[in-house]
Amino acid sequence: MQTLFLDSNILLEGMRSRWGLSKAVLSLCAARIHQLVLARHVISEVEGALLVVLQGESADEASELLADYFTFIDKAQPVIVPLAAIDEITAAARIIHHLNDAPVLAAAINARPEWLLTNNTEHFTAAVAQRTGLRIATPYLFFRAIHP
Amino acid sequence: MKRKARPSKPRRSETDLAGFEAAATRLEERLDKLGITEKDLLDAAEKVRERMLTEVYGLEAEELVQP
Repeated sequence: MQTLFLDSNILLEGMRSRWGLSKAVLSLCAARIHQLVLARHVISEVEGALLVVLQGESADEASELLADYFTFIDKAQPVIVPLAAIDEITAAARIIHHLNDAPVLAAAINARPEWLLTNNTEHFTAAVAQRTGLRIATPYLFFRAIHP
Repeated sequence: MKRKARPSKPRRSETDLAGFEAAATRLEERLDKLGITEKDLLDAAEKVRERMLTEVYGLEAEELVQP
C-alpha cells in the first residue's frame, strides 16, 4: 500500500469522469489498495468550486450535491491533512514559484506521502520535487512507475 | 457426502469499493443533470485556490514573494 496525496485537479477529474486514471487512483484507495491522503485545503477548494458552479441553482439542489460530494470523499477513505500553518506556507512559497499552490505544497510536505499526484506539473515541477523530497507525478506516470 | 460450497462473503475492501462506486455514480449523475463539466470545475477551483490564500490564511500574494 502506498500513500497518495492528491491535488485538487486529480480529485476533480476523478470525481467528474466515469473512467480514467484519476478515477482509478480513487477506486484503488477506496478498495484499500492504496491510502488516499487529502489536504483539508484541497477538500475545501473543491467544495468552493462546487459552490461557484452551483450559483443560480436552488438551495436544495446545492445542498444535495454537496452532501453527495462529502459522501464521495468519505467513501474514498482519506487520511486528512490539516491546514498548514502560515510559516509553513511561507516556507513552501520559497520553493514553488506559483504562490497560490503554496498551501497545497505545505500540506504535502507535512503529510510526507509516497506520491504527490497532480496534473499540474508546470507548477509542481521536478525542481520542487527535488527540493522537497516529494515524489511528484501525474496519474499516468504513477501507474507507469508502479506497473513497469 | 460432499458439503456444498457456500458463496464466499465479499471482502471488506470489495464492499468498500462498491460503496465508493455507488457514491461516485450518484455524484456524477447529479453533475450531469446540472450540466456541470470538468472544465467548469477546474476553472472554478483555480479561482477558489487564489481566493483561499486571503480568505483562509489571511495572506496576500505579495507577502509570499521572496525578497
